[in-house]
Amino acid sequence: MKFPTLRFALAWWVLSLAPVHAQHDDHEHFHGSPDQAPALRREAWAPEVLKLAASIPVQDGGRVKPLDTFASFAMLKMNGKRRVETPQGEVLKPTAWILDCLLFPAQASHYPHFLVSTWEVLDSIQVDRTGKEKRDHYSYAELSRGRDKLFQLAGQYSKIEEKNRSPVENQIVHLGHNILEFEALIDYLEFARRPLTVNSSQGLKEVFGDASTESLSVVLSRMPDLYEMAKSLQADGEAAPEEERTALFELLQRVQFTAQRAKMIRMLPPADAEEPEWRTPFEVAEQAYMTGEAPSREQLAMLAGLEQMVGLSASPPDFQKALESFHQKVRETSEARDEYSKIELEVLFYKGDFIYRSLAMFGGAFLFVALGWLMPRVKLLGWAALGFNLVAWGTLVAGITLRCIIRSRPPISTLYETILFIAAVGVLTALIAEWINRKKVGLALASILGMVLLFMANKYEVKEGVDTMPSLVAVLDTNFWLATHVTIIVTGYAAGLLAAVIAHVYLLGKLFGFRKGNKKFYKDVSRMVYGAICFGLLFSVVGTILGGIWANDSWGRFWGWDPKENGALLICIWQLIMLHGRLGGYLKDHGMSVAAVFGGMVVAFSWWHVNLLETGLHSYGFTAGLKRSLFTFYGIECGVMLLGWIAWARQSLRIQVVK
Amino acid sequence: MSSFLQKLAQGLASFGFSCILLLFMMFLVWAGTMEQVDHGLYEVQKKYFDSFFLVHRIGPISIPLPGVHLLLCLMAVNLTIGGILRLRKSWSRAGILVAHLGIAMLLLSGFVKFWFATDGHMTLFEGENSAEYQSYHLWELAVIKSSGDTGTAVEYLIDGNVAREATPSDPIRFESGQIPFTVSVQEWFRNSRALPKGPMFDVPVPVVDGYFLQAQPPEKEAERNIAGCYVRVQDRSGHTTEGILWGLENYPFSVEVDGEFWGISLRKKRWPVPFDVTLEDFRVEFHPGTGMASTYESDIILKEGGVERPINISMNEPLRYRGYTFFQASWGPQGSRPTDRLFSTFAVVQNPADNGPLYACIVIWIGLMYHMLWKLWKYYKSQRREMQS
Repeated sequence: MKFPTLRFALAWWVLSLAPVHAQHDDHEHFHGSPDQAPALRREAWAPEVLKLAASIPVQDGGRVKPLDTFASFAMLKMNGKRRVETPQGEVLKPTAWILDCLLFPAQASHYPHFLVSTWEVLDSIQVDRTGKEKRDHYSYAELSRGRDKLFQLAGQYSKIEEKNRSPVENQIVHLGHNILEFEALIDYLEFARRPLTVNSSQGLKEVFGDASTESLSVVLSRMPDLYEMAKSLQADGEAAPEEERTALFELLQRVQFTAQRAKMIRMLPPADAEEPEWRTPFEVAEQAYMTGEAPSREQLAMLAGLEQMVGLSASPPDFQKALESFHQKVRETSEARDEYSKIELEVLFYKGDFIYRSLAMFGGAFLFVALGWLMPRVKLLGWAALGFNLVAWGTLVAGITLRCIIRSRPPISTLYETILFIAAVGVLTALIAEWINRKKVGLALASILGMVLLFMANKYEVKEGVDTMPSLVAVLDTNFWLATHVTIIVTGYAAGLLAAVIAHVYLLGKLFGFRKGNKKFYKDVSRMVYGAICFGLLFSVVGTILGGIWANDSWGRFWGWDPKENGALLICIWQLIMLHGRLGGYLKDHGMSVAAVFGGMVVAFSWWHVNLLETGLHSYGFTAGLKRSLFTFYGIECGVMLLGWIAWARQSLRIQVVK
Repeated sequence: MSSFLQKLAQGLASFGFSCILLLFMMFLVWAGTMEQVDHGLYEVQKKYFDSFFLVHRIGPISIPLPGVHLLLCLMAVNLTIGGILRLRKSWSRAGILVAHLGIAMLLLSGFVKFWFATDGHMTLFEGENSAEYQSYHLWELAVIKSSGDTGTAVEYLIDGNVAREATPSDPIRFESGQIPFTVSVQEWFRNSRALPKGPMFDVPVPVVDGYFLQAQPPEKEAERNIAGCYVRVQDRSGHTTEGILWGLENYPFSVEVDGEFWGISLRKKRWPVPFDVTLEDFRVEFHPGTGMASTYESDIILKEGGVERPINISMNEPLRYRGYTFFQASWGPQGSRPTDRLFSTFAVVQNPADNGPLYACIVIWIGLMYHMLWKLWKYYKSQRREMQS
């Protein structure tokens, strides 16, 4: 962005000469008094409107994405889910919700979309919680009573490092952020709701004609005239009429003031493809204000489109036309910039809800597996379980494939994607094992793995509340290494986890006498554990070394004892210990199973725990707030190992007694 | 005797020995990983991974343990005897043999890297050139002769790894035929600050020209440690001069000997490269609307023997030339504006075993793949037979 010095100086001159009384009241904004917003939505959004609005492209987090995706993660962050029920009982999904926030802020202020997990937060900010559950949803109107206190506390706690904050302090900081984001959202189109007065002086009347007010886009289009006017006033010096100077100053400041709330979403693509950054209405106004030049024709048209949508929001058919027109303008510009091609695919991805559907189908598969345990002679149940598993797996793979196409990346480039990929590989491997030995163990494990991992993926997505297809740091900008090292090492994780899950069947089966006396069954399960470990070792070792080779290409060293590298090494070492222990006769079937459960903990350490340490070069993978879940997992697995040992001790004692 | 040697070989080659070594290795890798949170990588690496022995503390209990370096040596022995030499040679074990050979190659690459590789960085502003790179952690004392005609020339280098052992009770003296005086390092500080000595307090270290060195606790990121030392220069006539050397000092400590001016400076260890590198242009691009760099790259001119070659170095695309590898590591200054002059930092490595891990990886992959498919095929056949019967 270029700021010609002369023009900037001129604008500054206008400001400096203006009288002090022309300052606007900075508290005059919507969220100070929700009732000021006039319109209320009288009927549900038409499906055509939602479809169009969902695919409006916006630039956020360094990439161009659909408005639906933007809304979806904004909602997830505040609400903990992608839907909200209005006080009138209407269920809103992300696009409808964001349209209400943008166009009907007074209404949206009463939607209960702020998740508060504990009463202590509300007590701290002195908000009434009568009739609410401990973990409940609140509206902006309810929370705004404690707004000042909330910001005071959030400001105070945000100075504390996140890991040192108490859970309540953390929630207060997050709630503060969420309230700020919501205010930015409802204020975003405020400029379109407040026309600018343009007839307060003769000079302005000459520029704007008879109109008493004009929209921001019209005022910005006349910026060169205003600039000429300012130049002429400057040339006249002290002789320039006071009321002209004041009127011009007031208008310019009103332009800045009215546009400065429109900062949250970059909705206006520049026509110049060389300009990588999309603009917010604020930036468009700021540039015009600072340079004295009118924005480009395309940007003015898009800005006017936003104003038109606001103006027609009370009349659904007219609004739809305005939306179509705006959508077309943005679409044409973004298509010319080659930034629109994946937008509709991404809308389809989120609308299709592949991950959730897959999770539900794995649940169905498990149900049939469980029924099969109760009615072992009904073969149809086994086929149904297989069918559900296959469809669930296919849905998951379709989801992963769509993500690859949308991102033009291999399947894994974020922690979230590792979960999806591990689920896909784990389920596939379990199904292959089932195909080979037909013991129904693989079938059951496939559904359990699928369910647990996809449930985990959902939880992780909600916890993070950020786009799961983010822009990547420079070191990750290599599809070759993402496709080789990352994919292979994560396949190694999947195999390690699968071995651990199969080992649970062995240990818990022995403990609870499942198929008691059926040595063949346990021999087969044990072989499956061994097979999964061998499979895992191949991928873990090769993946780890490939990681070293990548590190050698990007950081200049093959091995740096970085926590992430060490985590991968630990998996390899533990799998080698198991295999050498088995070959040396130190670990028999039972011991291998106990060791494989421990191996699952090692995988969890490498996969998640090292990211919590927040040290090392793999900073792009750092995460927080999972310690409790991890230690719960370690605790449960230690319990399973202990139970496995008890089962072994009981069996050994029985053998000795028999002897 | 031969029976003893046989038993020893059996023990060294055994699975039990492999398991013990791997268990120790696992514990050390885990402990070293966790300790990085508080002590940083460099300290942990020295203690756990580059050592032969160490003492690990759990609360008040001290446990002596073998270091990773020793474990790797023993693993190499175990692998060679048990996994290669004594392994029964058959088609069913061919995969294991090949995988073990690959691991042996990997270990060998590691040893070569540890003993023979050097690594550091070359940081250049646009337009600057250099023919040397410097260490991240290692220090050296450079004795420089100043002459009006030819500028300055390094006459003698003192290795910081040797000088760091100096203590007030046991200073270390360095002499060379290249310089007409001796340099004694009186005391070495791994991390220090040079401070002026005021009249209102006393210090337990010598004060030279009103300044003294204050020891600082080691930094978590070892490259941020600033070394310092007290030196004593003694000429042939026995005349001595005391001085302070500090890593952040811009000018060398200077002495006059036999009418000539000499300078001694404490600096990061440097290595020359047999060519000259000039940074022509550095570019960084950000993901739009964010402060996250999407890519950064440097255009350099490599000059050698009067021949100039333009080369581009970017993230994940290093320059490999004459045994040296230049990686696009980082850039700065932090928070710079678009019009600011930028610098580019290249990580420079000279590693004779640079591609060793790649070859080892291929060999291991072939071995394990063969073994796994062999096993899977046997398992599949046995299951089919079972189902048919």
